[in-house]
Amino acid sequence: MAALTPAEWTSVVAVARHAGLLARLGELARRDGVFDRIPESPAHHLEAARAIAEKHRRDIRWEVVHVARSLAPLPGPAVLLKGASYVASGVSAHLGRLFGDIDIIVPRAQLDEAEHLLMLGGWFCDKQSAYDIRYYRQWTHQLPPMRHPVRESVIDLHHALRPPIAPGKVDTSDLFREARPTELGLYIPSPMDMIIHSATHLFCAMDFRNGLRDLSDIDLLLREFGTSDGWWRDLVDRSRRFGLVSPLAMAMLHARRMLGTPVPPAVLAGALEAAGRGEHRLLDRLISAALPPASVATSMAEAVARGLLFARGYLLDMPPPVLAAHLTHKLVSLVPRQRGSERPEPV
Amino acid sequence: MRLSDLPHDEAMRRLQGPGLALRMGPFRVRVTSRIRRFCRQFVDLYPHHRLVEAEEFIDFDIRMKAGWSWVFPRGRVARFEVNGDAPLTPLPLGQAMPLFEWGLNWCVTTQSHRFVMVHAGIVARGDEALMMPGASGSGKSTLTTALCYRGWRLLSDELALIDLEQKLVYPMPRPISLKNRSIATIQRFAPEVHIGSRVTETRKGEVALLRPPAASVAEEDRRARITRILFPLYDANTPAEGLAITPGQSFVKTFDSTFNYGIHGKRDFALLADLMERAPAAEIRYSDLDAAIALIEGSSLWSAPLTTT
Repeated sequence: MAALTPAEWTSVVAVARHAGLLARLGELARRDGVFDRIPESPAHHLEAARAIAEKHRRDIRWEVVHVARSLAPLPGPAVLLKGASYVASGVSAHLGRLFGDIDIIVPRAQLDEAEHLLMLGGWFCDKQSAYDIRYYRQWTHQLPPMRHPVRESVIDLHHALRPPIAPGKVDTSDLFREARPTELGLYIPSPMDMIIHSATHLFCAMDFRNGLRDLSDIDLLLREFGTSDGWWRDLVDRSRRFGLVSPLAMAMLHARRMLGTPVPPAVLAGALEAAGRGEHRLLDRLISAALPPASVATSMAEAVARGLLFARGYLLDMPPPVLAAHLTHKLVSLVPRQRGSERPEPV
Repeated sequence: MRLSDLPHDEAMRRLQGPGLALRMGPFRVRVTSRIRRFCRQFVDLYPHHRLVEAEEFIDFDIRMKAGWSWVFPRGRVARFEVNGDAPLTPLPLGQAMPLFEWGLNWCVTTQSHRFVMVHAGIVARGDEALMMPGASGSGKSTLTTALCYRGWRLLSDELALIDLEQKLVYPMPRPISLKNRSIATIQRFAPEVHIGSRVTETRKGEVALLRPPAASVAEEDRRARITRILFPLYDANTPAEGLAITPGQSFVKTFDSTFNYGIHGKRDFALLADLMERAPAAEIRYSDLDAAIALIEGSSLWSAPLTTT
């Protein structure tokens, strides 16, 4: 790290910031004992990003305590997913992590009660049209984002790992069975389930803007827990039971390719085979183009690849007739939305 | 070497091609744009700033781009891009220069957390600084400008950058942004001011950008200690009157004007609390700049007299 030129440092800081990984870069440098060798000016940026990430971490813990209090009457476990679960469990993927919202999953049977309890706690959905209510409840695996008007936190309440109308059946009862409670009051998934869910979120999702950050989460989790051959085999087996071996295989493939994650080659080959294919050439190239901030400016190819993957995410989620209906509705509502989309005035 | 030492054509060539890198207080900023009018205004407003000569780390790599938008009826817009992201709403092309200034403020206030940042005008005599926090429209830029033409040096008309380690203010003198009636007021008060960019019909009304004084830019590495805090309020019916306030009142009012309070947890509180203990604070209402300056430089307003000259 110390051997970079000033111009290279300029690029490193810009690209890491663009990818949401600036704070993590500093934390990993600190963990590996090389932070002192970073020149002063870029170090200021890493420290500033660290201050933001630390603030996020404090805020998210505080918010999780509030959520736990609201959901206390729920009979089944409410399980944190993604960023909030990393923080609540203290796994390495919490290092330098930034947060947008809090992802929580509850058993489908308790969805209505969980939503009701969160509303009593002050969170409510901004999107209230009859269409939105039907879209989210019938066709997706989560409710529309619930926002707290005072503290401005946002909760994504999930009731499944994949949309109920997506092909293939995903049984989440295993996830709840192996979840364990934390001091903050909510549950966290087992490390394997964290990885499988993060992979599913990334490789079945429609939004690759945080793609490299999410891949970096998976990389850190695989490095932390993948310490024996048996563990790797169990991970792939478990993902097969969920019916989610395909996104896990993709995550391992791309993490190894882009971040050098030490995935055993035999494990990767086995997972790809279990997913029903070897390397999927076109899709792999699209993902490789969409994940990294290749140049500082969002390049044309990256934007196109993200657009195609966005479409793919919809195709994975919805049978074509449903997709057609949904896109028609979105197109009709597009024009007035753009007019009202101005951001607040700068300082 | 300063920007004015560069032939005008060479400055324009760099701005429109590889980018022009300047020192701006604690930061190095590279600017690139093909918008010719913006480039001319930039060269006109930043002549005193030092060029980044050697290959150095660049804190903010900014591009001002022309583009089209269907949001504004007249079509052509200026976009502010930093490190490949476009965090701000584009504005009509003629507002590229103020958009650059607002965008650079955005970069500093969202990314420079080695400082506690206060939305304030800040000027100094020697190493002792007067901080004037306040929201837009309180008259802080007007009073800041006036003080700069009566022997004070400009640190900033927008941002007090208070370093968490040494608790000193880092100057970042840049063009001063004056709005609406205060433009004519300052032109009467200090006819020598140079307006480098003037735009009507912005969201803040008419905006004029003043070239910062050469002497202030030359001393932009000279850090200062805040020894006075002033809360100005423009009031057309009052020439100038003021009142000392307590450290507690001063804390609450300053807190309202911080950009990143709370990001460092207790350290932010400790820094501001310590500052309020050390620096006497006062409120003034004013409409007459000379009277306001006499009040600030006199002893009646403060619980302890100003020492330096």
